[in-house]
Amino acid sequence: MVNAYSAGSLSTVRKRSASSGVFLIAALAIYVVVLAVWPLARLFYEALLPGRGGELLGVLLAQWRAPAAQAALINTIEASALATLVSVTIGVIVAFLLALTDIRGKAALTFIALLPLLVPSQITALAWIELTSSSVLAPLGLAPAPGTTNPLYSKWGIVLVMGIEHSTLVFLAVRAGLRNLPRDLIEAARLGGAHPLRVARSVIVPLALPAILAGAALAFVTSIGNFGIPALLGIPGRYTMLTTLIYQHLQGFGPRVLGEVAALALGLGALAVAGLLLRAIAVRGFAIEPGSAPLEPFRLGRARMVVAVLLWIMLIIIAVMPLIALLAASLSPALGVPLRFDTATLANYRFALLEQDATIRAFANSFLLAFTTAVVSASVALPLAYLATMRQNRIARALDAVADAPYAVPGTVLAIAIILVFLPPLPLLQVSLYGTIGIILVAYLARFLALVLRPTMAAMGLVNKSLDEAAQIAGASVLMRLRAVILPSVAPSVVAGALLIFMTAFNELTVSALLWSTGRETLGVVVFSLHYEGNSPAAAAVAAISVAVTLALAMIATTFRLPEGVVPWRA
Amino acid sequence: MASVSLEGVSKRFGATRAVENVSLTVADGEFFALLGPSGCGKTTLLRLVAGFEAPDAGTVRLANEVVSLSGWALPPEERRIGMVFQSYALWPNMSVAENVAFSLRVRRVASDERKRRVATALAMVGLEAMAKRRPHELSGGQRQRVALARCLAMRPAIVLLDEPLANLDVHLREAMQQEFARFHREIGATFIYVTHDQAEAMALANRVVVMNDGRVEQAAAPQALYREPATEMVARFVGHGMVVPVEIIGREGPRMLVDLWGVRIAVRGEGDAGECRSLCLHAENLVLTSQTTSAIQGRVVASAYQGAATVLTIQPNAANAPQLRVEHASAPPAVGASVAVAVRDGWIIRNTA
Repeated sequence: MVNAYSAGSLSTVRKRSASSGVFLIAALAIYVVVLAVWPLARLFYEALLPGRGGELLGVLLAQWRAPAAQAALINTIEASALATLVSVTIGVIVAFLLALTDIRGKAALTFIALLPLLVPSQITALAWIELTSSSVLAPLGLAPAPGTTNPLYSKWGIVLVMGIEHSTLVFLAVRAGLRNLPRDLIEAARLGGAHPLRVARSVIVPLALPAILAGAALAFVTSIGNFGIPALLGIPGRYTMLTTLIYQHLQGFGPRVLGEVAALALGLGALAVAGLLLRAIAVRGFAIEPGSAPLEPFRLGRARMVVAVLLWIMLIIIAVMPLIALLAASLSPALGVPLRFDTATLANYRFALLEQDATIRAFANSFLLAFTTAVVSASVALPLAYLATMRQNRIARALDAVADAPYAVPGTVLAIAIILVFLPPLPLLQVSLYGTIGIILVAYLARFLALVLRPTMAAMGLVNKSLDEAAQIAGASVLMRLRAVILPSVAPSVVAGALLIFMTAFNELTVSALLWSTGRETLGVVVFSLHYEGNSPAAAAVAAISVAVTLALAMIATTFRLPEGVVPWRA
Repeated sequence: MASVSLEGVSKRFGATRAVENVSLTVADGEFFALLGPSGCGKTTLLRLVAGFEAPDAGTVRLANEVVSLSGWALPPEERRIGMVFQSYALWPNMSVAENVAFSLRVRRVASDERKRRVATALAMVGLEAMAKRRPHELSGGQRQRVALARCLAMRPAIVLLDEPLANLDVHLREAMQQEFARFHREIGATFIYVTHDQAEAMALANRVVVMNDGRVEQAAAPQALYREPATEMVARFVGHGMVVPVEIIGREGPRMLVDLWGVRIAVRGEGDAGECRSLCLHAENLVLTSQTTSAIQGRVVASAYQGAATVLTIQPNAANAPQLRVEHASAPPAVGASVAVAVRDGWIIRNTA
């Protein structure tokens, strides 16, 4: 009989298992560094280069001295701050009503409140344009007079649409904060003699304040980085924000202005980082004791019906009406022709799906990009999360932290960083990714890894470590354990994260607007260009299809059994 | 003044009957304990008294005024009840002093009066020096004291305590028990104390109600609960009682003669000759004896040294007999040895299942 414990065999086994672990961590490190760290570092380097005359920070200073850049910076801060006010107002009202009261139909209301989260911002903007344009509002007598410009093409249009789009972020943050409130704290206040409104003022609001501030900071950062809304509403309204300024710069002059654009992007990125720091400070908040039973809803009593009706009306106007307008526009025969049963037509869908080559290509491109990004990111997230949580590997934990960066910075900043790195021909291969679909894929892989890494890390944290150790004692290798023990227990979260990536990437515009080339269009780009070419009905048709795909995927993800918070739109 | 009375109170949650037809009266100034295993409905009963839940049926009266009827409850903020929560429920956004002052501020007590009462309450729990601290800067025992001070500052006529010691270390528990007893003496309010720990309930309360499956099993003074349990559940739950089957033979002076596995023994209780009933025994009622007649024959199956005594587990020779626990002070017999056990005392359970 062979003795398994002889010195020779034991050391071989140890060597083999150690080397597969080292190989895994090295591969993950290369992946994350190449996609996340290097491009962003390169952006810094490029933006901080000396000017032509060799003066310190010449590029950066030259760019930011330009009045256009300063105006765009002021516009960005102004519109984002105002939009954040709108987001906080809507998000806080909805979160308080849904989380704290006994209002009827919470599940349905929550789904509607989170609809803007599922609709990409360029489509939201398009839907609002359709809603306020004459063809939809004309029958109601509410349309702006023919010949006048749509009032949405302005600062206030951007503020309104962006505020609504990002209200979901405030809603989710505040709801999570309110859910963590222990019931005892509220009951203790009531026994102390405080009426519900006094309890809200003295206990609930102060305790929810960190969550409100965190949600507001997130809404602000997201507004700063938003491209779809200022592109569709701000460019025609001559209200330029940083994202649209960078876009117009690069469109107008091409890659030779990359250095200057990088300087603008660095400013945009710095603004976002400032917002995120604010959020990090806000979430620290108070140490709330992990609590007793969940909150008991406050009874609205006689007002219950009225409050429910008012909330329904508000949510339908801000979340459902624009989508109906979009659908109506996609069925209308031509711009400005009123939609009736006898004029409704599917011609726009036929045009988009069967006739126009660019659109057909875009569907294929976006599907391929979204699918590949989802599958690759999920396969990277699983071992990375495993090493970071179950094995407490320090390198893996560091990689997990930096993997957030490409998602945290505005998409425009990431796109510029990716161009900087991947415009020159790749070493060894001597081909450039620029002008191919490859550069979009690289950017998506960098940007969306965090979307699957977060839920995977959360799920992994709930898995008992001894499951892995038992498999290890049974003799299973790292890859074997990942497949046979770890994956089965975290699969729902990994798949939900992958679906989230697919939904986001399928409709993505900000990054692909800067990276696309003819023949390599994405759906987001096509919606954008169809609208600019004046073919709004066709743009609406493409948008309607992609919204339908997103909603269907959201429904699928809802059916999984997941840890709380993985699919945010679930009540 | 501030008695608490419940009359036929029932509360369901969906299909679960949390509280089932409970009637109880807690006298003014009494220290009353609600005792039972987890899920027996004691916390729901407390929440019905506080007004967080409205009963499905029955009436709750505080100081002879109706505060809850089926489907209706006076809101908790209008009941002037103090409560100490298991989680302490200190508001993390307020300092210790602000926590204690909250109910006074809500009730618009004048500023200087408020300051005086907060200082008095904090002095009573020995935390004057901690007034400016935040709750998260305090230890578990200190938080418990703040919760108590907050409750005292509002001068309630009724104080509810929901497993207040469950989150504390064993050595802190004893100290806090003495504090609770002292406060009860000093402020003279009615205390209703929920716990699953029978020793805690017996040590603190004037009267204990044992609950099981939403119903009251027995409400009595601790001594009566221990010596004269009304049901088998109470016998087993309080003081680790053993329950054995007996047949009543007849009366002998103040005591009753019963037959236990063919052995005649004299115990307390009532009953008619020929009746089959359950008998409650405690470990200290049993002694090893050298007699062979009128003693239960058995074998030692386990022995656990506990310092002052050794607890012996004895399997009687009679068929289907449950094991007995005997506290033995001198050198114990070896495991496996045959022994004889004499029964010195026992209680015939009235409501034999």
